[in-house]
Amino acid sequence: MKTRRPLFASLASLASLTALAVPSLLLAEKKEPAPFPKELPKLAAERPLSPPAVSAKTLGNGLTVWVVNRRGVPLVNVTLVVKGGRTLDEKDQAGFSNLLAEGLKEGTATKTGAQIADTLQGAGAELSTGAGSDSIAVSATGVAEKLDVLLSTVADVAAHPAFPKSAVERVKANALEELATSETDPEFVAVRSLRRQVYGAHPYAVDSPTKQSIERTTPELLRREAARRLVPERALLLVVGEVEPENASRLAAAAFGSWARGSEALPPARAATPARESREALVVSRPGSVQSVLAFGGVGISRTDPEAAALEVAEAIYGGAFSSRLVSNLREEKGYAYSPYAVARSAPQGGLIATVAAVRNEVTGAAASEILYEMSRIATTDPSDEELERARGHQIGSRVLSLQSNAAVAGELADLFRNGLSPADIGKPIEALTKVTAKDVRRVAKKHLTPYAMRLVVVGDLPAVKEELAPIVPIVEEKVER
Amino acid sequence: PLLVLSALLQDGRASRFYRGLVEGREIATDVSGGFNPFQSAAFYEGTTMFLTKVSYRRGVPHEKVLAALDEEISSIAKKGVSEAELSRLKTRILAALYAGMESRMELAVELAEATAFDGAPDGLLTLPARIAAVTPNDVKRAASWLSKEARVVIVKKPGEEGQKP
Repeated sequence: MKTRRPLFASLASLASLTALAVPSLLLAEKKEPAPFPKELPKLAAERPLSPPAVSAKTLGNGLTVWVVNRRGVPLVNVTLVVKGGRTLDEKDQAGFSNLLAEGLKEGTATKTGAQIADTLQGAGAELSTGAGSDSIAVSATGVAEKLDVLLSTVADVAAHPAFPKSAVERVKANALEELATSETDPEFVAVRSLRRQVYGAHPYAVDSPTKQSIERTTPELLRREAARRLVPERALLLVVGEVEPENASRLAAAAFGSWARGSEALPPARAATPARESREALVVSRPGSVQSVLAFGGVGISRTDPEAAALEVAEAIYGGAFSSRLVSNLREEKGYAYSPYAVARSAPQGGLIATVAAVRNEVTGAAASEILYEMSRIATTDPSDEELERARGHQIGSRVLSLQSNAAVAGELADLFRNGLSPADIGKPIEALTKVTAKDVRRVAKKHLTPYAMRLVVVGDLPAVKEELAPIVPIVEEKVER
Repeated sequence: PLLVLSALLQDGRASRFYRGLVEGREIATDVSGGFNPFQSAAFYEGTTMFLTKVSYRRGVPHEKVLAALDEEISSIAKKGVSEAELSRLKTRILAALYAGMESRMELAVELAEATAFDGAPDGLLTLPARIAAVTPNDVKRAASWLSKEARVVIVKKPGEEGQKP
């Protein structure tokens, strides 16, 4: 009956949490409600984000450990992030890291994948693994009482993955199924081609495996690469939640202390540079399509770039936020696209700046010309004070709101680690955002958001796209290489 | 009982549908779903819904997928669930419940739904005790409620729709 105890303990803490959270108004007797104010109250001034208290340690094998005690719900998130992701994949093994991450769930030297799932279920958790361009992560969120189980399971998965043959065959078969499904989505196809256009020979050109790389994956390859890449001196262990830092550090050392060091240094990072100059639009033919997906993209920056905050604001004004110019123009005014969007993602070796819109065939040219106009406008004129204020407020607010869960805090700390920053840097983006001026926005847009900085990929019916885009750009058809 | 049954059948890699369809029979690539996903699970008004989504492999007839789902459900209706598995499930459900309260917005929505459908925000407080009280027999009984007569099946095949979105 050991499991009953945590339930009652948790119930007690839930009671205190809810008691705090329920406004006394709800519990009091009914009163005549106050009339609703005619105008909304003014927003309060932005306050700096107080960085969480992080207990940092380095184990004997080189593993960095950051523990954050966060009160709230009786849960804890354990995240292990190892530097080196798809950038380490061989050219003929594109997107291999994704399969490596997926395969980690399939068992260790001493436990099957099913046993791992059962063990974690008993701790209230589900194993999550994932590969990014610059790291591979293993994580689980469970009840705080079972921190030892969460830590030992994540350690086992990272240090002793087994990649059994039958499970690897299943992972491969399912990856092929998922690829086939994704390829029916024109936006997936557009962004995949766009990455190749933007990054050229840089490994950031790839974010998912190909049919060929899936078929070539073997248990031996997975084991060899896991042993080479998943090593403690490249890794950060995060423990975020209702924990006692000393106890958590002790449990972390017990679970991860015996993880053996690797023998290779991480290859140096290579900054992504814009691929060859070209004014042509690449069309991926999708015969009979009634819509075209327009995808513009260019090489962005890393979060350590001094222009990062200005680019974030510029991007929000241009197309990132729902109130942005791109959305107002294409969706609200013209009705060309239902959900056009723009992103400026940061990444250590150069992020991705992209604008994507799915539009009806007959407005493909008109929509492209509006997008090019909005890019030119943000790069050649200052935004209004109102736009600037709204965008800064939006970005600051989103950043604060995005750090409410243990897993989200762990995710942000992991990103700091990936970029060679420290936990104290967690509040820096907000600080920088408060200082962004209209001049900064225009300067950074001129550098990163102009039509000249973009490549264009269009997925759609070739004759229809040609007809529409011929007056604007020269067109080439993608040679299919699947 | 339906919340527990849903976790047992389709919550994650330890669930019966994942074990049975993705791992065992190798006919599906992913399984997900929930009890009353379009309302607030335990707090609702009117008719409830039990939703399951299966992505299955090309070339597998959908009848085979449905038959597999039925086998897993009837296995629970006949054999029930062990105390050990039930205990793990309860911890998992509780953790998910807490995770749904981590953000202010989500907590506010939970409190509002408990108030709207249960009359008071206290419903959120008593939910863990209601889950803790579920017995193996309750789960067994709940499984028998998922009858074929009360079911709607939607099969979506992207290939047959051609290229047109």
